Amino acid sequence: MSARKPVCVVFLALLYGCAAAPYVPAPPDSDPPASAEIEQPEADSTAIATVTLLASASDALEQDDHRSAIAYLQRAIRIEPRDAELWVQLSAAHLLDGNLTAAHQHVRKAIALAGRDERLVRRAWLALADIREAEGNTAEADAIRRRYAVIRG
Amino acid sequence: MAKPRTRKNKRQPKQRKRRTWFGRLIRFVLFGGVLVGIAVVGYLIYLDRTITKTFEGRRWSVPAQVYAQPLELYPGAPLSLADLQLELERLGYQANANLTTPGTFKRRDRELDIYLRAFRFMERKRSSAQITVSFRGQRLTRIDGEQGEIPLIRLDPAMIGSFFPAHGEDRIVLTPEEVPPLLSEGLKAIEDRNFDTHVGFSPTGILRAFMVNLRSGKVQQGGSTITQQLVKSYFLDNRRTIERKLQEVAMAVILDARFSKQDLLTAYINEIFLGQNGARAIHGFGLGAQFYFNKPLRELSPDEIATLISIIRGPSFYNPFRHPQRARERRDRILQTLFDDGLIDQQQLQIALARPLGVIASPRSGGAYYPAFMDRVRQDLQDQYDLETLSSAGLRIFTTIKPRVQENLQQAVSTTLNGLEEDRNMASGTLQAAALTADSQTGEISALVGGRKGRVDGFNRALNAARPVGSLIKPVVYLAALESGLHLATPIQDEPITLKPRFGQPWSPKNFDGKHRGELPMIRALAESLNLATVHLGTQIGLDLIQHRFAQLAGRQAENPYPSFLLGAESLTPVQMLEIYGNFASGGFRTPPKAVIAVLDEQGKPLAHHPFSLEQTIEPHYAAALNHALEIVMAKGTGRSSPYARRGVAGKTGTSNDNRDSWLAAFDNSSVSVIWVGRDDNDVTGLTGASGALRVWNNMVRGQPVDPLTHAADQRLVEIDFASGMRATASCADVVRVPVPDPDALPIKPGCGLDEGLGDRMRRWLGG
Repeated sequence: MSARKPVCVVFLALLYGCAAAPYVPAPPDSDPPASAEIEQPEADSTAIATVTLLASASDALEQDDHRSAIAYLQRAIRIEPRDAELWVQLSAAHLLDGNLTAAHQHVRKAIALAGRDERLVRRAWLALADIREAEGNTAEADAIRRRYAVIRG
Repeated sequence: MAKPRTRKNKRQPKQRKRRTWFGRLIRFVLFGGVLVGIAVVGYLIYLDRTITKTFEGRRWSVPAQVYAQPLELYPGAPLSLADLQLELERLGYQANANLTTPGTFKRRDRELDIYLRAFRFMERKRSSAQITVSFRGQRLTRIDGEQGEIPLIRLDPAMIGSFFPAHGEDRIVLTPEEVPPLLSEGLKAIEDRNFDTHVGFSPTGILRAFMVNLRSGKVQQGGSTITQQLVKSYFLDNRRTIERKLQEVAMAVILDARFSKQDLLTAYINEIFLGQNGARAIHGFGLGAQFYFNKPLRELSPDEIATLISIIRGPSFYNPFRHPQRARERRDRILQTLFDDGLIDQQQLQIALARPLGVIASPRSGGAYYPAFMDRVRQDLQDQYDLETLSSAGLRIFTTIKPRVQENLQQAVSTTLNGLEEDRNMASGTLQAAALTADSQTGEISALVGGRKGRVDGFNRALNAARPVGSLIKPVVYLAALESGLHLATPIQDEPITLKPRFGQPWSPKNFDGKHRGELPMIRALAESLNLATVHLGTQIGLDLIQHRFAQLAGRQAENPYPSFLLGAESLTPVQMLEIYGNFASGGFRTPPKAVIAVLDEQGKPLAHHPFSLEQTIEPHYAAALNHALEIVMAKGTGRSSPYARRGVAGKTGTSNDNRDSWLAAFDNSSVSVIWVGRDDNDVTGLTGASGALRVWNNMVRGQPVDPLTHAADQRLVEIDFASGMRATASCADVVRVPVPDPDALPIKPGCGLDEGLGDRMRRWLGG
């Protein structure tokens, strides 16, 4: 379980790593808590809101607070409902929470939204592989990983 | 020898007898006294136990509070300054140049300064905070807090109702810290001057009231202390008898001995009856402040506090909605007393006296009150919580409703129905309607209208009125056709047809205009909602397969086993229809409409999980093709009369037999809506989907702009002649752009100057 948590954080960095302007921390009681590592992508974009919520979700997962993480991710999806990355993250949070049905449904949604964006498609399918493995279907999990050329360490 | 009887001796038996009698009397009295004493003590013990237990128990009986979805503020949000100001006003925020207290805002040129209220959200508590929100046109561009820029922040959500128990008592429970000192002291000044010193009842108070009443010849003043009023409200009925009065005094003394003065005053502030709103009894100052002023108690001004205090004496007599003059006069007298007692100063008095009553326009106009949506919340929760828990455990329920979407939809329904009745010379109130809007990707219901009067708790048509859906069902038929290998340019027959079932009468459907058009492409049959073509297509695909797909999309089996199902001879409620269209709007996922986001216990701990629920039901490319077709339905078909039809929306109109039911289902990139217009007596309205429900939608979109549908980058679209389905260009035909798996296989419309594809050449070579 803990092995998967860093995936969220690393993924965040990959996802929004090309940002430009420095992130300004929010005041102590603003909502939700700010995360100093996040950078602000561009003004006038909803990305800053979803990045902040992703950071909060990531913090919550670090503390094994799956329910809060799911709540933060659902908030992010209400802002950007067609962002496949957010659905992947939500699926991962449900997987950590042990809700395989929801994890599976949400990753399917991510695959549907990913379209032909190869990076997103790969990311979503690999998330599905994790779910298949958790379901005990290692054969399918391995097949997906082979298809997307991931060496398991 | 016997002694002679002396006088003394003669007297002795009498005296003894008297003594014996006296002794018996004493003993009887003593015994009786002891018995009465035991009985009284027993009764007092019983009273003590009963009222202590009841008092302690009922202090924590709190109905569940239900909240709307809070508005998220973030850079890039599609929100204008005017939108946000309206939202703040809806939440009871007051314009205030100094921004001195939470619940106030100040408008500047392109900015709003807001002093946000503190609120305990699902994930965490947010303290009150001052922010500045900047806008550019219809977008929010920046939020600044005391320490710099803020990425996102929420407004506190509107409280939209509560689950009060069967006896109707509703309240918001306050802690002593949440009670403004002016209210506590004001209550004592007006209701019970000796509250801090008496033992539960006040003999001087009773005497004073007695004298006043004697002088006036009628009951003008009550001698009840705050504790006695509390006892009356908690334990006793309204009978005016000596026995009841003694009981009241005894109970008041016990309560006073058992609990602190602050406990009693807080209980009084939470308990006292302040008005009636239908079946709902408004108890306590917390709810009273919301009910009469649409804001939290701590934000009330002295005149508003005085108004609430004035209501206690007679919630009906001093009802500020019905008797504003009378209520104001009493308010002013109370303000004078507050000043006389030094609780407010001269300046505060003058300001307060000069202000109008300030109550909201009507009992149901303030804040948020959406009974139709609350029905759905109740449905969503009934499997997990019993009524007792909902009405007493102090739960906090966060829901999906967005008040501004709800108000806009309700307004669209009311305005359109009035207009339709006027245009068609119908008696006012003839038509009824139901409508829902949900988030297209998550299924969360943002608005639910159960009838033309939104704030009236009555028959909920959105949830309960099952009506034939007419052509709204047709996309299910066309989806099954696409999945069976056909495409939107595939030619189908719009010719007369008679189906002869094994049992029953032959069935010969007709087109709406009674005409038939011969061979035409599938897209045209759907766009023009042609019945004959749809029945031909449906019988070709197979009714069983179509009903199987219907069951997967709707989450329920079809009830009509006959081919008339293909034309919508199937009764469904608007919410069930919303569920079916949610499959299309979400790009192929069944997202059952949901109303609850989270349920928290009194301590703020999440009780039940209500995650997004979705299940893939359609392959994405089939969903994309169908949605494309439904866009054409709006732009060129039965939806084309809408001025918003070509702005990137997909939808379908529906009309049941003899124009009884008028339907529309439509969606854009972010939301999906279903609207029904008809009559409660199921009589003919003369309305089609386009002339009824579509007009409601037009009015809805006027207040809530379309978020145009986005198309997958990989979707290959081909221009075809709308009439024939042949490949064509805009220069030679009336074309539509549709996804076709193998465009080269399509015939080319002569005279369009298009090159033949390989498929055409092959066909020609093969003599096809």
